[in-house]
Amino acid sequence: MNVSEDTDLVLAEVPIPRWIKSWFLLALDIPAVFYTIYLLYRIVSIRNLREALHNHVIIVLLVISLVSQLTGVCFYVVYSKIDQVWLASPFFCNLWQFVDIGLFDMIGMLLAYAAIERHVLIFHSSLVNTRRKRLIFHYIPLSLTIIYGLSVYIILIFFAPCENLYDYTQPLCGSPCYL
Amino acid sequence: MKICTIILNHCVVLLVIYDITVNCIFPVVLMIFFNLTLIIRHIRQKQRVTQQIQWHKHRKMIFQLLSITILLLIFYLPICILMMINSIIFIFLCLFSCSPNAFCLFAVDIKSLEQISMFCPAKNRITATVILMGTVTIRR
Repeated sequence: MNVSEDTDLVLAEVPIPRWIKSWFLLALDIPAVFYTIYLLYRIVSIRNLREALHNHVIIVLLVISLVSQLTGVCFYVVYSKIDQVWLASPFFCNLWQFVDIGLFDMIGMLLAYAAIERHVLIFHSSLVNTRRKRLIFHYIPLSLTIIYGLSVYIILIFFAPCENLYDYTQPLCGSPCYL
Repeated sequence: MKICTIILNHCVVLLVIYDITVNCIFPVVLMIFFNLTLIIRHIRQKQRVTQQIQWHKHRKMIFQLLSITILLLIFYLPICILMMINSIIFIFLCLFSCSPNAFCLFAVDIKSLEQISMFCPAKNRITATVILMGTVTIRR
């Protein structure tokens, strides 16, 4: 007995035609890329903004979303055009899954961290008033959040503990095997 | 893709639960809780009027975070909840419909999983499919 007929539902798509979704994504993606680059340029180039502690999370968020705008969304647009994954190779599939699932979930983690950090910055500002305290209460938690998110998804997707089966006619080549 | 046999591998089952709770549900809960407390503490602080300029600066910081968080939650929360429901139902259905003895599952090795899936009664698999279709994961 084969169980394959009833198990393709794990990563179902929203029942909207793919071309509508791809045009919608494209229409939002192009201005989004320009805005992201503009915002990043402003925040990084102006000294006051760059040195404000509460902007560091925002910079990381902008970089992550820029990466996923330039890769994940473009991959989907190309996929919906040719009805097949752009480069039919396992590495490309892993990369797409990483960008689409991993980076997307990382945005959630970073925002959760940012909410906690705002508490520290606003109500416990004495915790970040020396260089050493800033390192302990600001830079180390931020980098730990990033390292955690990246490493979890790199291990789960690139070094999966189960066997990945790629279907090059599905978005994301099917889902990663652990999902 | 023989998901039913793959998912029976307890290692993978644990990974799904880990991924969805720690990387999806946990950040969302933290986000909602700390943003709400942020707003409440901020309003209380105003009543103790200290420095107007500081207070306005803090309000800007809170608005900045709140707008991003709400935008994310609108799209992220349904996905998280659906993924959780989806995986829970899927795991349970696989455990109870595919195996004659669900309690032995965690001691089963991968090779014998192929054999276990042979016991899957066809009727149960159809109900599993119907329930799954009701709670499909929305990702793209």
